[in-house]
Order: sequence, then C-alpha cells, then structure tokens
Amino acid sequence: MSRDTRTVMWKEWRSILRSQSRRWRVVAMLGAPLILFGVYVPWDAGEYWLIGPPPIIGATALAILAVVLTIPDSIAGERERHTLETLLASRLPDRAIVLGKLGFSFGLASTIAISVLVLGLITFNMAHWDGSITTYELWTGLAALTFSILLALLAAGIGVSVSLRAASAQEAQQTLTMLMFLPPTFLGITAMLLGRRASEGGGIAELMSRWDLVHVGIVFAIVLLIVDLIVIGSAIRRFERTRLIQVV
Amino acid sequence: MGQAAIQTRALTRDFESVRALDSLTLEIQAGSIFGFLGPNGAGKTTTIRLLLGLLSPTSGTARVLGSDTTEDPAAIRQRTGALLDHTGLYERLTAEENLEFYGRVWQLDAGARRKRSQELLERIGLWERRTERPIEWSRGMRQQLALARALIHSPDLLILDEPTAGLDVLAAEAVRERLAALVADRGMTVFLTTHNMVEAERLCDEVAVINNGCLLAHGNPEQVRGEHDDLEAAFLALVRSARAES
Repeated sequence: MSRDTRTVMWKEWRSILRSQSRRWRVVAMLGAPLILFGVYVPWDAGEYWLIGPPPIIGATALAILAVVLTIPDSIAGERERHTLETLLASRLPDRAIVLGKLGFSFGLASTIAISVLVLGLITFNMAHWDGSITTYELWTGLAALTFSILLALLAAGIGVSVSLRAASAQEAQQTLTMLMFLPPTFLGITAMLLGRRASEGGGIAELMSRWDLVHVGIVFAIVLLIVDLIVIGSAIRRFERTRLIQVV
Repeated sequence: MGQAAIQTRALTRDFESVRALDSLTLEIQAGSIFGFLGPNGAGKTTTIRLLLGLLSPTSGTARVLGSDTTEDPAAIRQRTGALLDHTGLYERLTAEENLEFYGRVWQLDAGARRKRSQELLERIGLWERRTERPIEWSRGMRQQLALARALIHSPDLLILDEPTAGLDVLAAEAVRERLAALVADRGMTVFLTTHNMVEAERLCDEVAVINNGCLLAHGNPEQVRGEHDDLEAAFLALVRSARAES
C-alpha cells in the first residue's frame, strides 16, 4: 500500500513540475503570501510576529491555499482530463489513489506552513538582530504549526468530497475556497466586534475576554483533530471506483 | 476448445430505470482477438467497465482470467491492460514519464521500467521523442503511446475501447498490426470494441454484435456474416431487425 501511495504522490509531484502554467500559478498564488507573511510582516511587526496571531494566520492561510490549489485539480481535474478512468482501471487500490493525492497535497501544505514560519523567523532576526537568535514564543509557534497542519488536513478531506461531486476542477476549487476561507473570515470579524464590546464591558464579550487562550486553543485543536479524522475517513470511504465511474 | 479468458453469465446492468446490459452470456477463448460490435449506446463501454470490476453487475456474473469481477476485481486488473475511450495520457508528463508512472503502478523495478519503456517506445517509433509531452502529438501517436502504456506490464488480457477510432488509415493499420503481433507472439487475449467492420473481419477470431444491451449474434466473423456480403451488411441487418422488433 505505501509503495502504491508513493507512486501516486510521485505522479502528482511530476505533474506540478512539468506543468508550466500550473507551476507559475502555484508559485504566484503561494509566493505572494509567502513574501507577505515570511518577509514583510515579520519585518514590520517586530516582536509581535513572535508572540501574536500573525504567524498562526500566515502559516494556516498558506497551508489551506496549497490544498485548495492541488486537491481539486488532482481529483476533479483528473476526471475532467479523462485520465481518472484509466487510473481506476489499473491495479492501484482505491485507498492508495486517494491517500497518494491527500498525502501529496498535505505534504506540500505542511512544507509551505513550515517554510513561512522559518522564513519569518530568519527575517525577524535579520531585521531585529540583538546579538542572539530569537525564536517564537512557545504557544505561538505550537499554535501556528498545529492549526496549519490540522486545518490543511481538514481542507484536504473536504477537498476530496467536494471534488468527487463537482462537475469541474474550477467548481471544486471555488467551493473549497468558500468553505475554507469564509467561516474564518466571519469568525474573525465577529471576534473583532466582540473584542470591541469587551473593552466597553458586558455580556458574552466580557466573559470571552477572561478566557485562557492557551486552554481554548488546546480544546479547539482536539475538536479539530476529531473533525479531521471524521472528514478524512469519510473522504477515503467515498473514493470508490464503483462510485467514481460516471453513468454512461 | 482452449481455456476461456472471459466468461459472462446473464450479465445485467441497470442504471436506474435504464437497462444498459441485458443478460449477456459470452465465452471468449484465451489467446484470441474478440471484437465487440454495436452502435453507440449499445452497452459496449458498460460491458468493459463490468469486466474490469469498475461497475458492479445488477445481476449475473462475469469471470475474467479465472477471477470473479465482483469478488476479486483487483486480481483481474493486475493482469489486464486497458485502453479506454480516451487515451488517459497525462498531458503534463512526457511520453517517457507516462510509461514510467504506469510502470511504477505495476510495481516494475527501476531497471525493468526503463528497459520496457525503451522497448515499447522504440517499437512504436517514438523513442527519439520520449521527452516530449503527448499533448503536442497527433492523435495517432497518442493512441500508440496509450497502447504502449497498456502493455507496460505485459498483461495477459488487453481491453481496448475503439482503439482505432479517429485514426488515419496508416495509424489504424499500425495499431492493428501491433495487436495481431501481440496475440501471435505472446498469446495475449484481446477484447476490443470497434465500429469498423472491416477491421473486425480482418483482425478478430470471434465477434459479437450487441444492440440496446442485448446480444444479437456471436461467432467467428464468417458465422456472423452468414449470407450477407460482408460483416457490415450483416451488422446493419441484425441491428435494424432488432430495432424493428422493439
């Protein structure tokens, strides 16, 4: 199984390397935020980069973006380009195909998340050198790694399910983008508004302002891990030859 | 009579209220070229998908290379090469990488993959163009490469869905010659669908005619042709008669 999974990952990797248009699209779409979160923000934010939410937001957003750019293309796109049926007619088990696609996308997302954190750290130290290397505050670094990885997994699992239903790679990509970026945007705005009310005092906002963020983060990470397992498990179960072959 | 490579018994497949295949019973001998003939929508592609275990039958059974398509489809796919209605080539990969990928799929080791890829590409005259992407090629060249890909693991059974459709006379002839050589040299069984009756008559040891999911005739080309001048005339008569009856 692991050899088959690696075979699928090899093909996905070669496809990105060989596709000039796709390679430039990935570079452009990931490169700009990578420079923003890996260079500009750490340079500009100073110590806030090591203790505040920017590295968590940057690493997570880039990891999700990497999944959005790869999973729909590797499933819905492969069906659109009429290569999926030939792959399904091969000896590869269903599970190896889907795990290979998930593994490649997740591997790319994790690499990018780690890259933005390392790049940010290098930039910060170069810009604010005080004679010794400064690193992330423990919980900030852990949160950035954990949430980028868990949310990339979630995006990958949802991406498989969305790609199986979508008529095209573009449709799958749009749906996945909406599903992954709209809820955090809405939550961010809500948190900002609640934060403003908390400073004025009152109700839920005041209660939330007293929460221990580390504990909230741990609980959120555990819930996210459980949701990931359910979503990934469901995506793997749905990826079956007999379901994938379209009715003629 | 030799050993059967494919046996179907009352194989039936419904898609909701539509019966795509109706009680198909066939036996195809190992080492033969079998032509499955029928108009568009007759049930040919559904039959191929059932034989490869990509679809489950609504009723009936099929055994391919000794394995049941429902119980052990993986064993069938392990020993089968397929060229379906699209070439299935990765247009972002080079010709060589397409073969390399499917060599890896069939778990050939690195040396065997290289040797087999070179052998197949040389045989179809595309070794010099191995670093090109097939998207830049003619349909005939892509079809030849797809056929090479289906053969990368030296399968016992080759399933081809209209392998010469859309090819010019020379490219189609090259594919036919290749198929005939494969059966002669390796004793491979070939199951192919085609709309080209001349091709079926020249190439196939046995043919079957299907219409609307129902088998209309089965035998060697001469038997199916019967009193008609050629296979095409027999095919038209069979299909028209079946449509008139329904």
